[in-house]
Amino acid sequence: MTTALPRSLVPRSGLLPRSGVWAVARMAARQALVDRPQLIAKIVFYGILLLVFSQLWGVVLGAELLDSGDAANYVWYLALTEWVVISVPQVHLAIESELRDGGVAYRMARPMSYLCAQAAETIGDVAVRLAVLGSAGVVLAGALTGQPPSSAFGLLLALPLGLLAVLGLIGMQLAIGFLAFWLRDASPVFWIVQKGMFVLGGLMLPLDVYPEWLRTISDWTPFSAWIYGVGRMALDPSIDVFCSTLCRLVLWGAVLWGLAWEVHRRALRAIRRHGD
Amino acid sequence: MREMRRSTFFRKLVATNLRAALALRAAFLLQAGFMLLNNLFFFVTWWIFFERFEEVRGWTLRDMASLYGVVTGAFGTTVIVFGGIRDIAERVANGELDAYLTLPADPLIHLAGSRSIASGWGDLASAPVFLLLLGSSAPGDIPFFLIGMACATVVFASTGVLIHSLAFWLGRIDSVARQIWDLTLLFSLYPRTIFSGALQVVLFTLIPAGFVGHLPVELVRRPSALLLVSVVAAALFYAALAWWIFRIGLRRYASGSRFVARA
Repeated sequence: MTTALPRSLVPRSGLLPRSGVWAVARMAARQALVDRPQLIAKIVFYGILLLVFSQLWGVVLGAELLDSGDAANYVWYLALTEWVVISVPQVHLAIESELRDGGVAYRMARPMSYLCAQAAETIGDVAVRLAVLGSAGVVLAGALTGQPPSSAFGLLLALPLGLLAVLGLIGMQLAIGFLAFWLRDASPVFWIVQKGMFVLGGLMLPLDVYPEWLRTISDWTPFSAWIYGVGRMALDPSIDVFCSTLCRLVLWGAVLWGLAWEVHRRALRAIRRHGD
Repeated sequence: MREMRRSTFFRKLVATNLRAALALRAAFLLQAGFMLLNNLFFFVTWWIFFERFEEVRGWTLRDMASLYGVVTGAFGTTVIVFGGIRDIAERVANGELDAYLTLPADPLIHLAGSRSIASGWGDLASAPVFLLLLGSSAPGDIPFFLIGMACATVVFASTGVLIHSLAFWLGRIDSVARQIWDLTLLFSLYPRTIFSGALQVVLFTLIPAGFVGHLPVELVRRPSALLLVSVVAAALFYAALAWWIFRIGLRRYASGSRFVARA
């Protein structure tokens, strides 16, 4: 009597790198699904942020209405911006840890580039988070505001923008992670970039509220496209804004992934030469 | 005598951790400096907010700066002095407490003081910047600020011990425990006046953000004997509760039979 292996475990001959990347992403997605406490904790955290801000906007806008919307739309704005930010895991910590404990040397021996493997793992994980947190966000924001966003069409437009924003953010985190090869600890760089993202991206407050000079600075960074560009779909969605945000996201995504590739290449070259 | 031995041991433990952190001077300065910048940078959001809205039910930018001063100071002190609290749940789940239980030192004190996080110095350095420069507090407020910050530190550290001690009953909850602990910090960094009803009760009981940020900052803003007593009593209560829950949990601890050496 023979016991057949499940089909997914049977190695296939001529496994192309592309299918390898897909397999790594699928495995990471399964792991993310199994890690339910982590997902639940993320949802709770997300819900509490929305709760805090629904109270804040309720108090502030109860006294003064902004031109571009009411308290409910601002909660929906936050639901979109936080959806993007919370969905991205801190992949730089994983890279830093492997650079520190030498785990990267084992990974380098595999028939897949280290960057591709890390990116595939992160994308698999993120895919689950985006789906779960996206659904939770709609329910939570709906429950807290008691109404849908003024334009449901805006939510649909936010979907592709959110995906592109998350891809750009992953590129940035990969680049920061590889900086740990020179800095030993890349967390300080991450903190500053993260806070830059919060402030210049308009995580808590839409950029419409910002002074003009700060808005101009923000427009020159990728943060406004990643965060405000997505959140804006809850406030004043339009095809023109969607298209311009899409172009900026693609452009910044290409720049950040190019940067991640270059930093990764240099770090691995140094490891091959010096072995440390 | 026993208490004296405990405090001497704890002081020496913290001093050793400090020396270890300072040994990597560049990394230490980088982490502390960037954390200070990080806090100031984040505060820009509140500056923009209050430029636009001026006040939130009586709370102004100055009050927010005082709140940030108290909370960053308390958080910084906690992770510098009790940095090991973040690892309690993980160590319990992995059965790694054996090394602490076999030594004569109190296991909770030893665990809490087993690690010092360098970035905490950046948080601690942020406190006077927020309080004196941005919060425009007078030098006369400093004693109240120090008492408030010390009590907030005790409540925050005790909350961490309480949450992480749940691992004795629930098993592997380390990442969830860290996130729940972070919630205390998150709630304490927003104006108290935006929370109402049942949420206010939660913030002074289950997630004691009220005792970490809101009440100590009230003590700095409007000092009174009643506030002083409340802040100190809350700190003593949460410390005693954390101590008791950790003790009860320890009875349920099962060794992982892992060989871990600790000096």
